[in-house]
Amino acid sequence: MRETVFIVIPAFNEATTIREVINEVPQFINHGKYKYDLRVIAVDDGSNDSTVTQMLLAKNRPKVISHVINSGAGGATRTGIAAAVTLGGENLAGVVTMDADGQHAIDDVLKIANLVIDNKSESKLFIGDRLSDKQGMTGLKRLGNILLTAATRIVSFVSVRDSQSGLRGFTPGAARRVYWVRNDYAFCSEMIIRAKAVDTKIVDVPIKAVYSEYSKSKGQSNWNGIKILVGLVSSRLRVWSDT
Amino acid sequence: MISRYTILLILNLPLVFIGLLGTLQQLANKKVSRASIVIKALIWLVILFGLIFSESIYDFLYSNNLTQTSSLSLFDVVEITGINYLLVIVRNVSKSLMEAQARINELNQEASIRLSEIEARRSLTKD
Repeated sequence: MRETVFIVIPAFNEATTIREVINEVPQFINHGKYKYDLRVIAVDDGSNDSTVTQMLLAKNRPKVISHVINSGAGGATRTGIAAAVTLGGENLAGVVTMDADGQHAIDDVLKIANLVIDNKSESKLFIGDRLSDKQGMTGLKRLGNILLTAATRIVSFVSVRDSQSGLRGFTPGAARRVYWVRNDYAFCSEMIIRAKAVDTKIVDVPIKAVYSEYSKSKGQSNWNGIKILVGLVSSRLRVWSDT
Repeated sequence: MISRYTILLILNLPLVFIGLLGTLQQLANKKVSRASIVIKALIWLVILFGLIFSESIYDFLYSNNLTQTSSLSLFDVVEITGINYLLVIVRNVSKSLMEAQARINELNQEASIRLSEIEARRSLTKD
């Protein structure tokens, strides 16, 4: 069996886009030095629309996991990574997480998958940096992301460029070591704090920011931004207390 | 007659000892880093010394015109102690809630993964 990179896609009420997003992921890569399989793990976080049906109808037969209880993006991502580590076993070459609303270009997903393969012997976390793309993100979203990233930098002491990006790559070591407890969107920042605590190197990878009308409508509200900030401080205290 | 500062010390001493014992327990369990334990122990010791020398600190501040407030009343002592005990209760409840939440997360994760495996096997049998 060939090495496998798992693509984890957490989703909640994403029936409109999920099938297309899954179908975009190729089943294997055979390009130059890169020869590996890709397997999608789609995690439905207790949706109340037809997200699961759409996942099951995807042509490349993803592994579909339905959460028994709706827990949030952090919980769904954690479940997907845990499943990838179990399913991958010895052949696990890495895990890439991406959003279900179609805001990540498949080229960027594969770029991160290749980086994961290149660094598979180390414990590294690759974070897609949407802020390097001046075009894609609206002004308000950009400002919100810059503020949250600045707060994450202050609290985590990690120089990261886009702390809220959903496109992330984990080498096998990082997938096994980096753990977080928050279920809400603050998990993105908590993951960074915890990655540093377990000596996992964080690397920014410039990516395109693809925003359709649909993905714009699914963005974070200002209230969520404040909740993320509170969660960030609470995570910092918890990590400090745990370690 | 016992000074009100001594009453404050006596009433709050159990909290400081519980805190220090908890820190020593963490050291014995070796679950957290030594630096973190040293910082926690230092915080508890600062609180302990603050309680022991609270009257002297107040006298020093008052005599040097650094504060104009009156000394602690019995009501202040009861109020401060009540707030401290409430904080400890809130912390313990919050810790229990976090542990329960973590357990639910684990169960949700485990149950969801296992159910998906059962589903996958079932659909393979059907095929």
